[in-house]
Amino acid sequence: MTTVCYVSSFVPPELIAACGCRPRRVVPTLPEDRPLGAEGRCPYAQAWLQTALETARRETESLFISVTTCDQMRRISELMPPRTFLLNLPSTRTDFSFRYFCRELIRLKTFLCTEAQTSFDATRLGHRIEPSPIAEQTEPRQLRVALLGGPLPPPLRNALHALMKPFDAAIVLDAAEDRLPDTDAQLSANAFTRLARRCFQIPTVRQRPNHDLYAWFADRLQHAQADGVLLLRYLSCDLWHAAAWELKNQLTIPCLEIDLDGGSALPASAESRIQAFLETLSR
Amino acid sequence: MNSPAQISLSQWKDRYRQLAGAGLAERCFGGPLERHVRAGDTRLRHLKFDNSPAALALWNLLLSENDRLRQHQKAGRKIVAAMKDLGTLPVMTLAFDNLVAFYPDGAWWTPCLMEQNEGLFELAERHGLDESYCPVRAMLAAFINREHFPQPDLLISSTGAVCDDFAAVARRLEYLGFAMHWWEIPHRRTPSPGEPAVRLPTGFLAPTSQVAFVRRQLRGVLRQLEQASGARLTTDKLAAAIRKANAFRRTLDQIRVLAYTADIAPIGSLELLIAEMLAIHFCSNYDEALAVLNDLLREIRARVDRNVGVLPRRAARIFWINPVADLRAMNLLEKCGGRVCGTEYLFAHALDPIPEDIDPLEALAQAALADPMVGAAADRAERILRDLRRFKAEGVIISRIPGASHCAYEGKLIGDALRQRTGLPVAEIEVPTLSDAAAPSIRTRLEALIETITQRRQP
Repeated sequence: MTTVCYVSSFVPPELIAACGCRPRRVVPTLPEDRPLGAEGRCPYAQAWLQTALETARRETESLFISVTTCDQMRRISELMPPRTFLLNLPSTRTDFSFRYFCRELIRLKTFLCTEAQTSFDATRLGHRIEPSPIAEQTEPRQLRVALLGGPLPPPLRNALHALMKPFDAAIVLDAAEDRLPDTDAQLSANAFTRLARRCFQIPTVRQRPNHDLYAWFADRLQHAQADGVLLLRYLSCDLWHAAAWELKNQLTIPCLEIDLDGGSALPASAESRIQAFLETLSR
Repeated sequence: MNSPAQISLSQWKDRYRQLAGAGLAERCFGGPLERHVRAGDTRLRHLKFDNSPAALALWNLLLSENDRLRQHQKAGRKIVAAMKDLGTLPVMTLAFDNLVAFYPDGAWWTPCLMEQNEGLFELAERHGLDESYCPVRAMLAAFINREHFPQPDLLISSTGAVCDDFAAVARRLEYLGFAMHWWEIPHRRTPSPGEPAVRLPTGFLAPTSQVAFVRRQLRGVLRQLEQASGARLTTDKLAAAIRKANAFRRTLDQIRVLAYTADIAPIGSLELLIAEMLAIHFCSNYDEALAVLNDLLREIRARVDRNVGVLPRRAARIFWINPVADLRAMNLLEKCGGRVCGTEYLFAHALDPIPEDIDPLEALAQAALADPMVGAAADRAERILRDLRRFKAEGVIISRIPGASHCAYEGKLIGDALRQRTGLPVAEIEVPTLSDAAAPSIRTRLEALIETITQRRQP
């Protein structure tokens, strides 16, 4: 069975499965010793590219899906392995752009079936593969922290948890980009449209206008009763850097913006700042 | 003094007196260049200018735009800010008598021209856009402090396949309360086998479904323009606007061909850069801009006929990719022994003719999707390759714009493609808004490229 690798929440794994392929959501490997991000390149985009190229060398039959979630992801698609599909995600959220997104998913379906030499099984569209990934801490903690920003591979998440432990802090809302939730679309005619709508409605820093992202986040923050927000973004990520400023102006709770240099560990300066932030919150 | 030459601002003082004494006929925006320095454009003191009356008119047209915009508003015309889109919206606006398109992104040069004494970057930083963003962040500040261009009546910005810097700047404007109409331009992709496709004005192939998408978006833009104007636009009027735009583009093409293929560079690269920029939105006055362009064409043609120019005959022929944040860099190239023979300043689609034999809105949709920046860098490289051969360039400079998200990858992609396909030397440089401190290192790279070119000429 052909494996299809992707990183973005906007790729519906059910569609991949319905095309007779194996969906594999990839966590790009950030290097331990040498952070990526030279010359204005996003370390995460670079990591995805490198991971994809290495995977393609090892698993020659694999397919890849990239999404136009930002300019850098759009541009690295030219360097991705040959059997890569670039899913064009509209920035606007109108009915018209939704129909365009549906056509993109149909195009993706055709690509997968052609490349994998399989046929499409629409009955598999309704079998949900990934449940809503928001992690919500239910046990009481002294400090309740919300997470927002770019995608966070496990080593960075683990590092965060380790920093939080001494403060009896927990992430009560994990809304980093790779964890932003889809929303079940209830009023849709068929499974395909429901699937498309589910992905299309994911709040994103890229959409224009992007009031939805802030409205969604404010609502979830209130629900989670967070004491503060950690916004972690990669160096050269213009979109999250810009969003951070607006969030800081809008939120009534403290928000700390941290740059990530693309290494698999938190930079020492970031650790100090996070610790100081948690200390401030705990007072 | 009547021989073609590049002269300084102070030399232009004497030159202007000479021309005025000889009965120089100027347009309403004419006058000595140093008045712009008094108005704050102090960078002019460090530039070299062509000494022709045509060049004087060109500079005066460019540097008087803000005044012109104010006059338009006083006369009851509405100003439409065409943001990010380089060349499509202004053509649509041209079809309305009471609308004027303006390109506020052009404020990215204000910090250069005013040598950062105007404080736009600082103001942008106070609003969350620091130096990690490209100089277009100056546009945000110019909207906020209202000290440069007058407030446009309508803001229309493209989104989708745009650079992240601009996406952030435009969004910040909306956040600060500026009403924005967004229209989407999708990432232009290669058509799938068997998929209906069309060849766009720049030569790229695109699926007809994407053209249809953009056409629908432009219909939304048109509704906004009609609302602002209070008038419905007919197909004939839009077709007439396209013909006008094409007339402008044909004139510019003649200038480019003459200037880039001549034995001796008839005029400097700085004036040619400004001439190209006029094509984007006609500098807020189509008739004046076309007249200035025609004067420039006449001057260049006369010089080419006499086989005279402003640079040495053996100047290295350089294809320049991307506009520079500091205009002085163009003079620096020439000082190092180079001349510009071909350009791709991010808006090739504003130079190519728009089809006139199809529905006008369809034609504009094709033109918009032909934007080199909305597709793959490989497409852009193809377009560059065509012009490179057309203008017989001997080397290439890729000029990175500090902080621009697209420069992170395209330099390598384009540079590698050009090296592979042509064997020409390619140099990548970064030009900051004020390049004085970086001038020695930029100069070293330019000289190295030119030296390579010169050595390759030897049998």
